[in-house]
Amino acid sequence: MQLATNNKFHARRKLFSQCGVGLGSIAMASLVNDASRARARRVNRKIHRPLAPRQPHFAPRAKNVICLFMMGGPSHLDLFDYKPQLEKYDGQPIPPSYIEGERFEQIKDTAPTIMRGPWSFGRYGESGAHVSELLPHTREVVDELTFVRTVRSDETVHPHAQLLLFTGHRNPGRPSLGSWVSYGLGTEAEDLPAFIAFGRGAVPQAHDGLFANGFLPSTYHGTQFRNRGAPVLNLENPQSVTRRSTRRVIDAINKLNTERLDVVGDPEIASRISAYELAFRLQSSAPDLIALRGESQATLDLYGADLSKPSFALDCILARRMVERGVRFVQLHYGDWDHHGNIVNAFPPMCRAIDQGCAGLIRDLKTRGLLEDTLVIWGGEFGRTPVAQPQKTGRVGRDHHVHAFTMWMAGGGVKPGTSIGTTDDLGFHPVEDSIHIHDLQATILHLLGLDHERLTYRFQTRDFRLTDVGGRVVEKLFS
Amino acid sequence: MSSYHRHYSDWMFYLPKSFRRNSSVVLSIWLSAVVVAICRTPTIASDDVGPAELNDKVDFVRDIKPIFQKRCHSCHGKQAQGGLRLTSRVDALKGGDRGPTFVPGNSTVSLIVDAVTEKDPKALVMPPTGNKRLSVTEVRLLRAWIDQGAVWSTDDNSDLDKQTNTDHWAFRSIVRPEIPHVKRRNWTNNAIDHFVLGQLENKRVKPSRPASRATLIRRLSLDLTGLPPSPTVVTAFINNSHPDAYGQIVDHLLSSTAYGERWGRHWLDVARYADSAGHEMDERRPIWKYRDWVIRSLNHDLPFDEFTIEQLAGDLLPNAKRAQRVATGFNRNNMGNGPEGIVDRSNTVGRVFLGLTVGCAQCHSHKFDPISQNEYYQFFAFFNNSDDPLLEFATDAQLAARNEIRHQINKAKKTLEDHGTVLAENIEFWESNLTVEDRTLLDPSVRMILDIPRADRTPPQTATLLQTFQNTHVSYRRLKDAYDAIVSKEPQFDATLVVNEREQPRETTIFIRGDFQSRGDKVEPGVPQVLPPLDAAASRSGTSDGKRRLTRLDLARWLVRPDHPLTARVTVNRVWQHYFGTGLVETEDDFGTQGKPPTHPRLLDWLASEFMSSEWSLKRLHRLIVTSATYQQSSQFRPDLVEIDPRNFLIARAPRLRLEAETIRDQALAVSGLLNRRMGGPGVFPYQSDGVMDGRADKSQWIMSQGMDLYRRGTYIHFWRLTPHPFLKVFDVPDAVESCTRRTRSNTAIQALAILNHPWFVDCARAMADRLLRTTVLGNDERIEFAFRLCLVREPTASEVTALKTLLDQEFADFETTDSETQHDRELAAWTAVSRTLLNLDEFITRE
Repeated sequence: MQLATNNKFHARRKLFSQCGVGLGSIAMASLVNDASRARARRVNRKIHRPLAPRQPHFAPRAKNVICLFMMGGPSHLDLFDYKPQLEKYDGQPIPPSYIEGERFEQIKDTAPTIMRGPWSFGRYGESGAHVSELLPHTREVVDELTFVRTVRSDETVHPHAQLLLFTGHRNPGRPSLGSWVSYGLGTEAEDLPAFIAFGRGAVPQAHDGLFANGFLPSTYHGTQFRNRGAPVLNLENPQSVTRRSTRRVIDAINKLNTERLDVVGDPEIASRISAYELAFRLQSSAPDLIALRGESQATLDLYGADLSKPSFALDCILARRMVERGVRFVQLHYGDWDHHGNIVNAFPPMCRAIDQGCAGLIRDLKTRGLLEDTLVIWGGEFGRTPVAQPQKTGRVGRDHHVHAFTMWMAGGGVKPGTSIGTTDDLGFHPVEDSIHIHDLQATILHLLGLDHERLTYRFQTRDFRLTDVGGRVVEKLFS
Repeated sequence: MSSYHRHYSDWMFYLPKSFRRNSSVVLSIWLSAVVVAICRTPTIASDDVGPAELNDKVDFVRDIKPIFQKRCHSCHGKQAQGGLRLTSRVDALKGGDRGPTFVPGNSTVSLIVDAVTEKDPKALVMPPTGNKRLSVTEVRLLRAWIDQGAVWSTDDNSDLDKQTNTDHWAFRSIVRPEIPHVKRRNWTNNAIDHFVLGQLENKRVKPSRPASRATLIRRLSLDLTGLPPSPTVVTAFINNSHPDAYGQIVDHLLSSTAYGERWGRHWLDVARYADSAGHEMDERRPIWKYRDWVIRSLNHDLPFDEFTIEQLAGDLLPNAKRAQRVATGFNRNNMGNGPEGIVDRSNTVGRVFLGLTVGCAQCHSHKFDPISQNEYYQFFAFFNNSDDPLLEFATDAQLAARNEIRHQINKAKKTLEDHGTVLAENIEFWESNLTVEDRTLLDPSVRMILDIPRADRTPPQTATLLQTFQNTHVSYRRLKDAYDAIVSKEPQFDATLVVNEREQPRETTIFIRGDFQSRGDKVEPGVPQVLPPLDAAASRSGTSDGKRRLTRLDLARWLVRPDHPLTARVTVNRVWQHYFGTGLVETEDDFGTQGKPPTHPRLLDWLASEFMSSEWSLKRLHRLIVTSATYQQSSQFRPDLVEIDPRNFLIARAPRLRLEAETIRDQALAVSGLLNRRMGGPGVFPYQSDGVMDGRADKSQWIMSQGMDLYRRGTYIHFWRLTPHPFLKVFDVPDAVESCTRRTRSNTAIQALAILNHPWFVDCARAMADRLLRTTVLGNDERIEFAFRLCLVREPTASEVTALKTLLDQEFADFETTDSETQHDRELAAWTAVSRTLLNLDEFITRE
């Protein structure tokens, strides 16, 4: 009997060493027989906290991330990357040298024509950054922003480009950025998920791939908040059930689940145990988190938000409340910025919808002293072409563009009021500092104190990482 | 060669290049790394389990070509670096600057083997970049291939670089393979086990012991019917000493109508079934008759070939029956309209039956699979020729009668309106002559309107007032009553969306770059060349010139032809996936060259062949799978497998699978005794949180169903594409935007909250507590045991009983009163807590 128990122990140690960071030592400890029950209880507590804060690889510049994902690919040429030459050559065919070997996603004309931006630009702030007239609020905070004008993607269609941006790979199945970050760092928010994803507008073409855990343990899956009605449902205890009773029920559930984990050894059970612990804590933390009514009128005005109207601005306030409470990674998506046609009419309302929310978020984070520790990232899965995509309706737009497009970052250790990378006169190709999506990901991880080459997970005999086999940290961005 | 025996050079692959290059400095580290590595259980990569059945002959197309393409062709393809091209056997034998690449029959003197194993790192290392280096398996395959004579594909001169991938495994016809011999014959129940055990024995991995009878009956019941077995069924099964007790229970479950509901739901996922149209408006649409047809057809075990034909082309069958027309609703489940909808219909059939990503060829010829853009639009043309009517369930006579009533309604309406218009002229007179008494008789809301100056009234207010005035006239009221009476007589018929082939064919052209506004060449319906030919001359009823336009019916019949290489493989694979979590082809929706090769290619072909020769009977396929020893293994995790086969590709144990959203709910309803087994009919609306339907453009509301409709199976819940029921969504129900061939299985805190607090489960926990209290057993221990048997189909352990008794005691203690009136409430509350615990257990929502 003694021998059998022992064997079982060793076998399980082996088994659980595969379960991923945190779960391993833990689940194993729960299996030890009566003799070390006290220790098991102690370690058991850890089962419930696979997201306990973990030391980064080196000193971090940022602790939390808010990712403002502009789904569909906003036109960098009409917002931040000012190109007077577009005006000059408007309507003329683009020189063939630019488009040699180019395969646009939809444009089929072999000699597409250059298209000017219909909107005017100005220079703002001490940094003198160019910003379109469509973003009157954002231009007031340019000195807080770092523009990356030469982000490069490999994928010209939405789902693949979105997956590349968030998972480092064009196909589904890899862990998302937020999952990697929560796996690498855990979270300081004991009572909230480490990684929350939400948004409004169209359904992302990459679906849950944007916040899925891939092959990481399911604990690292992004928790999705709803955009209709209450962001989190089922927070209230059933009628006439006390919180104390729920606590006891969860204790019983987890005790029985732990026993089952002993017997069958499925790491999913360990994830479920931690999910129930978090669920209990969410019951008290989430109502507080989502109680936007507590925001002052001044704050609402800062974001241009109205409590009675669900909006991107309100979502930004919620995002701030999340990082304020220690949520590690907030992913907020908005859009459909996919303006193949009718850009003249369809683009300005999108800009209006996000402008004040973005600017308000930056100011609000700064005022509250949160900006230093929070990295804010704004951008889409690609930009848009300097050439026109004509439509039968006569309402032109711009096609997808992957060679160079603009994102901005703020806070968390990036150099404010600067810009990195230059594009050519038409905003088509990079001429300086081309930054691949993998470079961007390596940089984001670096800002969080993680070495993208060391943040790996062994799966099917291979050590996988977010940046696949690429990635170069862009140190120029750092403050 | 066995996986346990590796050459020194193989081990080198595991070491970073710097180690290899600078060996003296890091020798000690290197040695310890080797020691650590050797102490670990040998590792089998997933691709290892894939194409390479080790005792097999290496297949060039399956095993070697992908290695050349992936590892070598970027330099030795078009470019011929170092004078070498590895694109045909002739070129490879000729070799490059360093001489012939390999010596057929002798890998030990082959240059390529030296290069990829880095025999002499100073001389030649290929591929030069570390991340492209060959895996141990790939090296092994390469060696074996050379040793076996380095047989290329059919033609030694054929150039891989130019060749399309027509000889891809999935496009070859299905040849029923020999059943392999195995050593442990007493383990096997049927042919499936020979194939599975064959591979296990090759890898020297033992299968798992069989699961307990209790686990098996629960697994079977959940897999086949989506419902838990009742305690009576369990007891009968466990005590049944008949040698074929297991087979009997399988037959029993397969004949249950719940089987059709369970497997119908799987099919509805691939059919992207929903009760609304999607997009911004998301209008409600009647198509539940199609859902019911699917369930009924599966229950009757309609052979899968007919199942296919009726759904794709039931309307084109000679003397099509109504049910066969209902089946064509399959084509109507798409979201988009116009060409976008046709694109979805084509892509869905491509994915569901062919297992190919044909949609890739919509804008350009497929980059990897041999499907040209022209062929895509030929395929598209089959679907681009239908009208989309609503089929009403009424006889001609009934329809004529309704037309007559509609005519009368119009007449009555006109009379009423005319009279109303005449009266309206006097409204001002009436208003100004209202006495105080008259006013008191009016509705307060009308009095309020009267107080508003005429000019300031809103149109609805004016209308309300007019109606009030008109109703003061007996003549008007009489006409109104007559009108209402006739309206109430208009019969309402059930209806469902179907397709009808157009009489005048619609012209199909290529859409250049997928843009339906840019039309290219005209195309006629046809199938991709890489697949068996379908020509009109061969089909019946050609026109005078011997040619006839092909229809969906031709396409459907072609799909289920015995020489079709894909439909049967793709179908058995998807069925397999439901039982084992992963298909034999992991990429269940991509059997093309970019998909994963099958882990058990022969088993896949054997099953496909067996499926066709059993007249495409799904029930026989299910029976075959669930009676195998492979299926009946325990799902317990095995430490020895964690490293060598973490994803269980070898199937050395059964998988442990979190149940689907609907099944989690159905099961809770079943164990609590609330489940209403009524089948079919329009969708139902069980409780849903407020706010879910907020902001819908069509302003639809979720009006909760009444009575026992609240407790119908999840399959019958009305599915709004834009606003799916949150519970279903949280548990990964597909969004029905496009065909879903595999659901994800997430595991989140939001799910925990849903089962803890959602009113569905609160209802179930209370009902279950009531059920436990109503049982005749007396003691708490016995009640807990009964609850375990209900929910988990097993006896609790002593510590489980203790844990639940502690919970009971604590709950009791919370009630201070000893008043006998509240004694029942007290017990009910305490047992509700126990039930809530059980309904939330991982084991409860998992099929083990």
